[in-house]
Amino acid sequence: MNDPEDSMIAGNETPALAGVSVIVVEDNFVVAQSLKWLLESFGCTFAGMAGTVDAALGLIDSVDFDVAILDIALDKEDVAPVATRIREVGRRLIYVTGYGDNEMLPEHLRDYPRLSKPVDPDRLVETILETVSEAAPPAPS
Amino acid sequence: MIRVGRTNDSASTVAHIGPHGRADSSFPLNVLLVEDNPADAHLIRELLRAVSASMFVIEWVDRLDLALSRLAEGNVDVVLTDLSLPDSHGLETALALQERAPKVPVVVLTAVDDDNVAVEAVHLGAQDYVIKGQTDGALLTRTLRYAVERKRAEGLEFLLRELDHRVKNTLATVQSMADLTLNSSSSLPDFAVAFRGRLGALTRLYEELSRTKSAGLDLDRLVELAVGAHEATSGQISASGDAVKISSNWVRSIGMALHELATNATRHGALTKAAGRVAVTWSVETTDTGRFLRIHWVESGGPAVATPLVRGSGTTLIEEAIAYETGGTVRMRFDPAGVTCEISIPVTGQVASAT
Repeated sequence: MNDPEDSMIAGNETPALAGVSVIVVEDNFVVAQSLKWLLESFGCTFAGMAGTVDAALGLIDSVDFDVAILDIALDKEDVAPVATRIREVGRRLIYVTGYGDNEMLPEHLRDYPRLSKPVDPDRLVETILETVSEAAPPAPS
Repeated sequence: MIRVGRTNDSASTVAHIGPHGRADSSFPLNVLLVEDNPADAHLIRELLRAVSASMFVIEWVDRLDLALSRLAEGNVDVVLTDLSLPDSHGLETALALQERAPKVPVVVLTAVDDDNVAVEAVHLGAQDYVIKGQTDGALLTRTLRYAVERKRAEGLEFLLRELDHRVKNTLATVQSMADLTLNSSSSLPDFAVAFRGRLGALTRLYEELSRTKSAGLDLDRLVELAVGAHEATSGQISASGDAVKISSNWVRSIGMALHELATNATRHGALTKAAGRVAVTWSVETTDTGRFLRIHWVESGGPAVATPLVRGSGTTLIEEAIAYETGGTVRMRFDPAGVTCEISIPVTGQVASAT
């Protein structure tokens, strides 16, 4: 993606997240849809959304993406398999949660950035920028 | 009682529910004493009785299996157990008791040379332990009372966490609903009407869910609540079908779809005319590919319908949300005689036929 420092061309601002492709895993359609618009407004390529663990696993294997945004509490389903799969394919992961912490996840899957619901647009952009600027995703263990 | 309004953080709220926050009416505490040595059992009863004859009601059993069946009957406030019993030993005893009644605190009775196992039991979820021969009535009384209080505070803390989560999720839903409505509104007054309508429908659905303690809603009630914003026209809407209960996680999906249909009918469809009618019917059908809940929405007597050139956010909300959240399908048809919509949702335990 473009370096954000270089993107401030006078009078012709490149969107902050231009070139980053993102998927969203969130069980509430309306929330997923508005996250999609928000991401697109920052220049993201929206690669897809899924509302269940099965749909998410299918999406991860069928589209190309840089970052996955994953709701930790998917309608009572355990999202650990989704987080694990995102790690395996070497993509970045950001959690979204209504809980104050992520202790419902196994310990080895906790070490990823976390956004609180409702998602603050500035924090979203910051977190995605930080995540994609990392040298490489955490190695699978 | 819970003083939520006066404290700033949940931790201090929990702290108020200590020994002073509870009504004294919950005394006496029912203690299940699990001890195979009659002399030890006798001693413990005497210790507790010496402190207060009215604070505890003690039931004594000498085997794990008897303790488990007693726990299954309920009405036990705290278990005081020896770990070595004729039919169970060590940590197994504590774990079996906790598993049978996760909400009942377990206090372990242990011999002086065996307290490592007792500490281990506490790590695995027992509330506390007391060493035989090193306890007196006052200590034992306090241990049992605090075990009960701590367990209650844990439950409350869990509830507060859950509440926090729900509030944030609800805020996220409202925020997104505003985005979606804004995206399809041509003016601010337009937005205000549509947004209020959606928020109102959501509110009615959640209110009823909370009344039923999240056990789900009967579909006929759900229909009534979802189209309830259009009460002026309620005589024009009929609803009938199998007795079906919709589980709480699908109430929003189905309810909001029905709300959008009703709004659409009020603004453009059959409900714009006094002679217009809407019939909502449903059934659970079994086909070769599985069981489906089918909901039919049929409008008649309204103005001639033309397929909208641009589908509004209402149509999106109905078609995409149902597909996304329930794996179901929606067929909306803009027949000249009136709008019809068939919602078909695969039944996987989410919708249970009431018996």
